[in-house]
Amino acid sequence: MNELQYLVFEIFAIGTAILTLMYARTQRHRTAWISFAIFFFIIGLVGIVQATDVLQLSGPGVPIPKDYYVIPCLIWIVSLIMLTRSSSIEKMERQFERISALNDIARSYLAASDLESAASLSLERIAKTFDAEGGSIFTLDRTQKTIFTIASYGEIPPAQELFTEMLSEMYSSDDRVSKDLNHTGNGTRRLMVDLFKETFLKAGIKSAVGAPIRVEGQTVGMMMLFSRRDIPLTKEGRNFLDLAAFELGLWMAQMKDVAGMKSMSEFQEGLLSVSIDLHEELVPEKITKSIVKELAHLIPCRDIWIYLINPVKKTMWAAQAIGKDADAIMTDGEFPLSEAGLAGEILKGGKSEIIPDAMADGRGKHITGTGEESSAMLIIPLIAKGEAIGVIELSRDLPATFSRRELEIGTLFAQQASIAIQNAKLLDDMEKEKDKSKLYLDLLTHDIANLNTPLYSYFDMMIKDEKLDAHSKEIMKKSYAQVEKISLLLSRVRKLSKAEFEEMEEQKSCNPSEILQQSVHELRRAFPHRKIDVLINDLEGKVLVSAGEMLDEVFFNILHNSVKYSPKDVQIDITLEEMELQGKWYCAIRFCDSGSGLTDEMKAQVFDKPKAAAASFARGFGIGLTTCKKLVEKYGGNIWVEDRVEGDHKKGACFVVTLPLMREKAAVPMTRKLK
Amino acid sequence: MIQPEDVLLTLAVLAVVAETFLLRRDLEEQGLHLWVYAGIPMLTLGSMVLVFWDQMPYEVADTIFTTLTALSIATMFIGMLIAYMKRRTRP
Repeated sequence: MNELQYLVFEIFAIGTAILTLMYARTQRHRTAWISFAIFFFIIGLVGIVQATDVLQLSGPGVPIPKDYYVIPCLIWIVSLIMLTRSSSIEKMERQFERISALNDIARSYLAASDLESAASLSLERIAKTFDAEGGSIFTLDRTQKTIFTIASYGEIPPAQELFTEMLSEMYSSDDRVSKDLNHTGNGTRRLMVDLFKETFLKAGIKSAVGAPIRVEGQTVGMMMLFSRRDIPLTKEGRNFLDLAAFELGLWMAQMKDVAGMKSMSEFQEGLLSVSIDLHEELVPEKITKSIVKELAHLIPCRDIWIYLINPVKKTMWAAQAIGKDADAIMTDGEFPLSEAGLAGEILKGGKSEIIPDAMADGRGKHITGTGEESSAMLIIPLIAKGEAIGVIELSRDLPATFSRRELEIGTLFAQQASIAIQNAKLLDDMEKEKDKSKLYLDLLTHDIANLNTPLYSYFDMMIKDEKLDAHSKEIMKKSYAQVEKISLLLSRVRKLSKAEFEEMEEQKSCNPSEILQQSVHELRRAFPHRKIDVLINDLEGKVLVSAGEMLDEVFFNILHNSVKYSPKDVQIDITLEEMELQGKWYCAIRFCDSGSGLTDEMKAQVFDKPKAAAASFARGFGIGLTTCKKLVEKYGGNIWVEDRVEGDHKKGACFVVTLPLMREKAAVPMTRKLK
Repeated sequence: MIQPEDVLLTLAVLAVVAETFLLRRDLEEQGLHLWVYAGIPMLTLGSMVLVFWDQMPYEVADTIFTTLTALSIATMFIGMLIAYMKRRTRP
């Protein structure tokens, strides 16, 4: 070996020593590395000595002085021992760091209020422990077959996003990947498998590690770490990541329970509010609209359609639709139940069903105008009183589907919706029936009254005809009276119909004294053979009340009752008083008779007997006390009955009618006797 | 008779073996790479040539020693360079 070669050798040895020193500066335990550097210096020195001295001193057959190799060997062994020691110290330190990281993570879970923040906290801590530049945590949604990134950390998020996107695509399309992700029993592993290697390398990631997050034996997500350098994945490192993922899984399970309870309570609250909303609404169109709106909130999906059934024609039609294919559904028109496809089949079974793939299901039928692609469906029959009244259909784009829980929610909701729809339909039918009977009643009362009018003239002409004999004239007079009775009956029926059907009769100013006198006159005509004494104390006849045109019928009815339940000679005292009640002025009209009176039990029931009221009225016996009460209340007043002599009902009854006064000033009472 | 320097050299050889097989993983974490597996054993062999220097033909001993030493130093230089490039700064 010549001098030049030795020089190169020395330079390299010294260079290595310098490099080692530089490296030592970056390390926490420097002593071991400095010792190594010394070792290289010695090697360098040996070279120099050999180049200058040893070759001359020790020629062929001359032994090399032992110091030349013993000293470097000694230094090397010492360096190695020191390096091993520092290595084990570092190992312990790392272990301690990991344990404290786990503690920190556990503490951060306890402090975190939601999944995202807990995941972010733990991810940051774990990535720092492993010196990883980036990381992410994603969860798997089995129903939707999608991946959600719940936390990401570090400098290389584009690579993470790319990876998650790629994995998400594979998860939704490849069953093998889905199975692997869902049921993987492996712990922490390297993700630099062939499948992703290229993606990772392109993004500058050299090392990627994944730890599955498991809840109740199933993988629900994954915690990943990315690094531009190699992530040392020792046994301890694996254990640590497994434990961190386990902690996260445990916390997620707890959060899931809490979220489950919260969502159940929210659902119950929602169902209650929906139920109230639905039952407050009585227009079918508004109800179906409300159902669709509320259902979209409870079960988010692409389309919601409501079909209703016409039981008479055995057909179905779309009552409401929202979503992508809403227009096509609404224009589909009415079609026979036999052509209802999936919905028809499910209606036969009467039970809600999840259809994972509507096109693949043999019972399905494509609706013209809707998309060609298949979808997952949730079909819920609407059943009221054991009979199908319609069906709700919900759709989601594949590969998403519906869960059992959503099916339960939908079914529960449909029960409420069915009742609401049925109620609305019943009310609608009732309204139609009411309109119909009102129409017939109007026709009857008007047309017969019109037909009666010429009869009056004919009878009048015949009564005045001198050619007719007395007997015939008498018959004509009786016929005339009968026609008059028919007219009166028709007028009463018309009034009753008005009172029954019209919600708000026009209020006007009425003089009760005048109406009372007319009613008394009518009463005397109704009972021509009875002696009726009526005393009216009417506040000088100046009182004006707010009432409708049926007020005379109210008065007549009360007076008629008094006569009907009194002995032959009837004494009725009518008193008008002004009274103030809760800041409002009323006129109280008291009808006191000397009849048989009413027991307390009868008093409680007297206004609550709607039976045969109309028939009784038609026969000229008044409109009935139930209708009287209804009318008086409509006028803003009240009606009740009390004993004429307090505590002795046998001495007669007093009916009291109060009506709102048209003026606020009290009048002077005055008594007038009518014969 | 066994000399203390022979014991030391034997220990050094054993340390190389132990280091290569037992401490590899730990030392790898410390940044020791190629030179652990190649440089040090070569240097050890080179050192052993020095022990038997006078019992070997001079030309052979000189060639083996020079080659092994040069190779091991070059390897160690490269190894240390790699370690330095991949250094992780620990807090």
